[in-house]
Amino acid sequence: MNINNLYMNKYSFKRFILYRIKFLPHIFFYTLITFFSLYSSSNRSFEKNKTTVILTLIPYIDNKFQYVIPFLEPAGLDHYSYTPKKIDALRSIVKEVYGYDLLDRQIYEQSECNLKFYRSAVISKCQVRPYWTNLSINNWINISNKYNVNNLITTFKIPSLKACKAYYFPSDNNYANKVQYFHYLIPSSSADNLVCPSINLYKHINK
Amino acid sequence: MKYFNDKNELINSIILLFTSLLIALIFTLGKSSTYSSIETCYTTAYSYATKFQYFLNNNTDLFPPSVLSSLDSFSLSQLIIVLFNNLNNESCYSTLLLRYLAHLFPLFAASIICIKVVRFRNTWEFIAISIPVLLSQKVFFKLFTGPPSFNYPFLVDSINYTPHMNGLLTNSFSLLLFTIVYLVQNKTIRTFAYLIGGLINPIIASIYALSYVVFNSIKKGRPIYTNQFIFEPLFPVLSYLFSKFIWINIFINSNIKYEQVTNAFDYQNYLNFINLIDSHRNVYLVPFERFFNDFSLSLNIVNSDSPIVLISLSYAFYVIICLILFLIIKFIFNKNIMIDSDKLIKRIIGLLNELLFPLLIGLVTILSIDWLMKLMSYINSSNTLNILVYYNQFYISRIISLLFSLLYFYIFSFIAVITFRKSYLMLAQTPASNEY
Repeated sequence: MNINNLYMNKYSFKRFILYRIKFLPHIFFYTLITFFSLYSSSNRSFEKNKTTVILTLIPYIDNKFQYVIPFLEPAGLDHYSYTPKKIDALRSIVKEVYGYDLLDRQIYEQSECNLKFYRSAVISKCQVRPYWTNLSINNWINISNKYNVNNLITTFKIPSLKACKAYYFPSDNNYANKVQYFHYLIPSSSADNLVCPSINLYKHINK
Repeated sequence: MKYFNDKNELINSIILLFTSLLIALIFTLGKSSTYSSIETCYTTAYSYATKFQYFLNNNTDLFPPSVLSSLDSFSLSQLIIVLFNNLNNESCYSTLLLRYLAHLFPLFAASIICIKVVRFRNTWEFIAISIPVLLSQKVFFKLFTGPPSFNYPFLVDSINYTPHMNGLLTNSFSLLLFTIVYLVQNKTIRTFAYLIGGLINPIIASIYALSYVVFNSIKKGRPIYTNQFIFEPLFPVLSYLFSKFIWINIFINSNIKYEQVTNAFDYQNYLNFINLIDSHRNVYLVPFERFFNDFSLSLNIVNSDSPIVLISLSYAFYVIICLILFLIIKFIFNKNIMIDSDKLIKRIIGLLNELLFPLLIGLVTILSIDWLMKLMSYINSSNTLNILVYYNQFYISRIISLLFSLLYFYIFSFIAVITFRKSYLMLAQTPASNEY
């Protein structure tokens, strides 16, 4: 077909633009999105001051406790596969806060424990547990200051931090077996006298 | 014999529309005990929306990484959940609505197939066949588990309790979108489908649109640039980009410092991350898992830089399945079955031809590309023009799972139509010739 046909009669450019795109659905759709955005930004009172950021290794902690969000979702690392430019930032965060190099292949070859986390998109608790247990209070203060996080919930005890409360949580949906979750405070300075925030399990877990 | 007129078709469409809305409602609220359970209410989409609201409500310049991730997860689900949370803090009505939509999309797709295939002289006969076809979709979802863990799980079999809402909506809407793209010519409906598709998964919606433009042009023997649907592949991408821009940038004032997310980019780190961390992009051993079970999760595979044989066996298995199906359909279509069979069978074979050929050709093409990309990533990690980074970032291989589920959905739907129509004719003792 001759390229000139593009500018003629049936296949004219004007026809392409004006008659082959129906603009009304687009206008309606984007107006709706604008309305939604305006409404969402106008009402910002939702859960303000209620939500606590938690450093944790427990996957999906926000479906166990009310009004919490994880500092970094430990079971959602695969989300970063969509954003290549964030990989280096993620790597440095994991190195400083969780104590190991995410991209070190040898880690997965070191032990059977670490191998379970190979290609699992989950932070390796085998690496993190000894790291967190041995961190000094000054190291924790540095983490708190750099990343603005003051709460930690783990399944193991951390001697250098102030303990708040222990929670009992059913293990693998078996209400007979329960695991203990420990809530700790991470101070921002050595003189920091933090008060434990109120964090509650969801009602269905307390049954 | 009097043929259907437009009025009857309109009535049938409206009946199926309302029936689908009702069936989806029953499927969603069927188990009243689960309305407020954490299994129903908690989804990863809900979690991202909560983090996004934390972003809205706090004027800090240092957000946790999980909150920054929520800015990348803009989608239909985030829009609906944030909107509902503003209306009512304590409810999970938004999640129920999203689960309702996930039930509804495949029912709409089945309705379109019924309208295209089932034609009887009166509405009651149409209803007697179409409604069981819609109801049977539930059976279809229970039977089908998708290609074994390939790329991404088929989540439509667990609509009421899966926490992976965005994946669920993508799977569910994909069934409807492909059906609309290939069977509905109305431009307004197509445009809305693309715009909504842009909010659910812009890449997949655009690929579906592009595939239709290509196949339509080949079918009509015209150059692609003269195709009347040429602009449609842009709609989902533009819908996503404009909507995200409006949602995040215009109405939300934030002093967020982006230095956390704009560090120098090292592509080799990204490819290492995909290789060591990602749980979706590396599933390719499953068809042969039984044979390689001891081998698949051992230190050997970590040490091995090139499990090329295993990858190739897996991909070859899928490609051969597609080629066999392609040959079977081609054989049926070319044989004299078209002459001997009644009109419904002819219509079904016509539609199978319309739908399954693009699906199978698309599957073989994308499987081959994904195969090549996997080999590229293992053989010397060659990353010419950063192609591996783009490929993994846009996650085009995810479409493989979706195309397999579409293949299954269409074959099952057509079998359901034939079965219920035969059953109806037997029960009503009506000769097939009464149907036109």
